[in-house]
Amino acid sequence: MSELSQISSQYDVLATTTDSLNDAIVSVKKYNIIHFDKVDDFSKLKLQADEYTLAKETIINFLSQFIDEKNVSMQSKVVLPFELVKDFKREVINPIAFFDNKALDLIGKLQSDSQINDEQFDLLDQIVSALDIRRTLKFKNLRAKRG
Amino acid sequence: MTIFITGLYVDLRNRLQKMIVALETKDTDSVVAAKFKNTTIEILGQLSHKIQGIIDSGILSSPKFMKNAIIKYNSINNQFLEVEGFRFMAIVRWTDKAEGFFEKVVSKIYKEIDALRTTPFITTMSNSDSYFWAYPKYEMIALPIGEEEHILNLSDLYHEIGHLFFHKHYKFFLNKHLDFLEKFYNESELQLKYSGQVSGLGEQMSKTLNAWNSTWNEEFCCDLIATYLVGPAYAWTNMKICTLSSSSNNVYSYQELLREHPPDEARMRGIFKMLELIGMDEAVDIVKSAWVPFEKRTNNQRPQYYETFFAQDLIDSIANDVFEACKNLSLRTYPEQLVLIGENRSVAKSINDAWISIRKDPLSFESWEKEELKEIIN
Repeated sequence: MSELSQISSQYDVLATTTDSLNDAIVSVKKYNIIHFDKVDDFSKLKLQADEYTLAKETIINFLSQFIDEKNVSMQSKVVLPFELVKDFKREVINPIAFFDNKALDLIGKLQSDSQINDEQFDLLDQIVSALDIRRTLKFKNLRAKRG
Repeated sequence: MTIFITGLYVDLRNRLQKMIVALETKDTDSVVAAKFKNTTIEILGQLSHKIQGIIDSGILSSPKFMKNAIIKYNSINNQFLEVEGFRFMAIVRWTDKAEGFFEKVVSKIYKEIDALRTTPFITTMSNSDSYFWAYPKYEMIALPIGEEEHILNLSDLYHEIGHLFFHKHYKFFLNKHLDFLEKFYNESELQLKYSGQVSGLGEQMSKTLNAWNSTWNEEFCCDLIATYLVGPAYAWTNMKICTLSSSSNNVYSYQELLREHPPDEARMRGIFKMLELIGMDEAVDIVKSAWVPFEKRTNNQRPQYYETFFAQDLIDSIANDVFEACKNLSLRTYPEQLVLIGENRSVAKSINDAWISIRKDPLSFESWEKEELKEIIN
């Protein structure tokens, strides 16, 4: 009589995806501050090379699953479960004007280790916030079902 | 704003540390509960360490990271609340009378069914009178408060044990069924289209197939595992569920087809199939003598295409897979348990006897149950 285990699995997928994407964005922001801002204000910031490599891969894989196949030559890796991808694309990705162009530009910059601008970071923050909202709602659902 | 966010992290870390102290002072004689408590302290320690790492990383002092720092805070706070709600509350409410009793019951069940697993953590903090749940992530089972004074619903305990088994052996339990399900749906959609029944068909087929794959397969599996282990008692428990759902015209999920559980009628057919597979045909006849008139008289409605969505071939397919998987895991069927115990008492036999007793003489059941509960863990 327990649907809790299924909700828990769905929540875990959302939580893991949100956390890994958010961590990746933080790492890429660190990279940009350390390499391009050249200010001492954030001298505490540290970034390992493998952490940055993993961060780029995480963001590229996440964005690729939403880019229309005709616009992308790379093999996209599915990160979210199919049903969630469909909903997320409809509710979050489709309303973003010229998403494919923006995502491809961002992917190109990540691949060439170029500077990411504020508008591009805003886009990434917007996407991870939408994931965070879904994660939080699923968590509320999980707690409510506990009874 | 950045100092405010830093304050939130510090406050959360303080809460975690206070919870660790509260747990460290909670004593228990139960090995299972003590292990669960120690793991909880470890998880809280890891969260505390994670918070310190974020404070030390420097990202909290820059507005550029504010959005990400808030998301990280929410994430850790959710993890904290999950531990608080599922683990901490269960530990502080643990009593020998309720949880200790069920721990002994489940340990006994595991021996009787020959499950080579450690006993899960049990809590009685579920606050509904009919709601049992399992949380495989934490290897725990919850029962309603006061359930230690009743026997009839204990068949549901086997269903929850099924969830714990299912999460360990997911592909094993659905060995051939997933391919069969996909093929069956594709072929049925074509057949229905050829016969002219097309109104909203494609969308309905897609939604119900998705429901099978996301929740119904697991729920059917747990029913089937429970029936394999506890026999006809599980059919009577499902009949009780059907009685409740019939009053809302929901025996066939007419009111809400896509709910997490498959329709109670389809679950009943699965239970019958498993009873046949474990050699309890006679029990099927007995339950059917109550079930058939019940179905007729409650007269609940069936959703469109019901016979296709829950065709007997699909039920048989999953039942055969679960039966094979249980056999391969060397779990004992209910009849096998009966042979082994001989004249002795077992948990599964007590539950089955309870259903026999209440149907034979409902008015004296209460005193029968009281006596049986004293002996069930001996």
